[in-house]
Amino acid sequence: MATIESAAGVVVTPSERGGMRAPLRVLFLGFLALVVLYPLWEIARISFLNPVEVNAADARFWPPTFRAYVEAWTGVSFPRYFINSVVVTLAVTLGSTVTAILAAYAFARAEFRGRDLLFLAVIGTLMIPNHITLIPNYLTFARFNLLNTFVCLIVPFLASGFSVFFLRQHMLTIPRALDESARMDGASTGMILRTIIVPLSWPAIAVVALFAFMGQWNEFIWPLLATTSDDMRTIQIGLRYLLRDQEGALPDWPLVMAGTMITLVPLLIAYAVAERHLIRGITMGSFR
Amino acid sequence: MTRLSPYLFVLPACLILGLFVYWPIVYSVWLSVHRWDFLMPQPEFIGARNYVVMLTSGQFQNALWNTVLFTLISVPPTLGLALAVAVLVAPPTRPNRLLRSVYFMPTVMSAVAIGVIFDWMMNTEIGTFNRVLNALGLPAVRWLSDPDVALFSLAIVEVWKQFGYSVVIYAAALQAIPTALYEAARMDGARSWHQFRDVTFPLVMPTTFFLLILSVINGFQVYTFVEVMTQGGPARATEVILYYLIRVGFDGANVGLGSAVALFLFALLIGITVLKIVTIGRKVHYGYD
Repeated sequence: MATIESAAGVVVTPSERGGMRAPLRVLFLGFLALVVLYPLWEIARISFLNPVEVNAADARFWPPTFRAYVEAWTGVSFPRYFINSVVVTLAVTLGSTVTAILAAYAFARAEFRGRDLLFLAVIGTLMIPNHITLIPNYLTFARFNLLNTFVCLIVPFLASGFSVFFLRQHMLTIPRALDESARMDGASTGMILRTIIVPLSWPAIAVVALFAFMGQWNEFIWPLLATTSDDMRTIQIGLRYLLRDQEGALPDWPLVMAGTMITLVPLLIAYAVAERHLIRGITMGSFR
Repeated sequence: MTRLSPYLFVLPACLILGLFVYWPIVYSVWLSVHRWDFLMPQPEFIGARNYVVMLTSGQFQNALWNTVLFTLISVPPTLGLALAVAVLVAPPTRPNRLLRSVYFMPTVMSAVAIGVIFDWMMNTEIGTFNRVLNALGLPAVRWLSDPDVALFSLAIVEVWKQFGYSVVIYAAALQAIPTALYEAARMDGARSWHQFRDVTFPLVMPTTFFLLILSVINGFQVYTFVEVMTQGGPARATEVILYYLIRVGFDGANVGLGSAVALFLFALLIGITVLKIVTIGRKVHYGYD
């Protein structure tokens, strides 16, 4: 990682790296960008159509029909899915960020028996794929009669190995002299965390919260398995059933696409605002 | 800090991770040697029989093969495309940064939303894919309903979603290559293709290896596209391991067999990860310091 950071910012022109001729390059990269963006355009376009128009090759979305959005919002289920997702995502984002701050602080600053082993166990979870937890966790929540509750949608996600790791790495870069002098002035451990460590860690905390938000908003498998009652479904599950609720029934495409837009917009806003931090988090994670 | 307080600070995170990540592994092992559906009052110990059933099951072998095939056809194009693009967008100019963030965008979108939109675009009658083929004078393809094609269609979606991630990682690795190496190569008369072959490619080898392992692990856990777009069909042509696991373990309520499958997949992925740690720890890093 050190070499990456020290050499980052060195500007090397494409030709020096063995690139192609400029017009070809522009064409290639532009085409690829179009390929990436086109599906988003399709979602938007179809969401403004009438169901009958969808099949027509020359369907025009202008002037737009808002029928699909109105129907999505005035339906019984979709608003409920949306609210469920908001509740779960906010709870998980807040909760997992707080548990990560606390743990990262102790791992970065305190000396205690078993610390290295515990830390290893925490980052070890990054290697453990979550499919292994599906059946056991399902049975655990079933035993306590907690399926179809917010508890089972939220609690398993209240800690994240990545968040702890990421925040600890950041906190290690905060000079120890700062908290030592505060301690000399009589500040308690909790006060040092609140007045020094957390304020100086805001950028890293934001990254961790952003990852939690995006991951949770997009979570699919666990809510699919752990909820069976319609009023506990989250928005991703709702979207999946909007597409195909009964075998054979043709989807109401404008409604499906309006639903997709609604699930995507919060995410794309978050992405637009914090894209740089997100990418920094991704690249840092890859060089650990 | 006092002697006790560090433990209090790490307790919430460790408790959750222990309870919902580590304990399930132990529980899975126990479940995998029992026969249990939700109707039986008590799990019945049956030793290794679930594993025998799993390994001899044609459906499991089919799922395993589909998973391997999906990984084989989705990972190389992802990495190849990503490296080619990264070479072009690595210099941190303004348009390059914009392009990179466009390419990266699909990785933050939910797999369900992506599944939904590609389900539409791959629709046989009215989908975008066939409209393009039609306009080019080519025959329509049944992207998701032809058993010979469906898995490839899902692989296309996977490449679309994942390549931007690898672009970003590659771009970071490329920026770390000292300019002096390219200058030296130019002095030796290396043209651009040779610079790529003799400088860029070998120097990003560790990154390629990292991304390869990561993408393989990802590919082995594909689920959502299958669930949303094909439900394992047609004729189980897209039934991958994770889909099989959930069909058996949840829909079939055979939690013992489901756990055996989960552990099998887990062992496979841990094996790949260990391979990564062992090899990256040693030779793959081409040092230039």
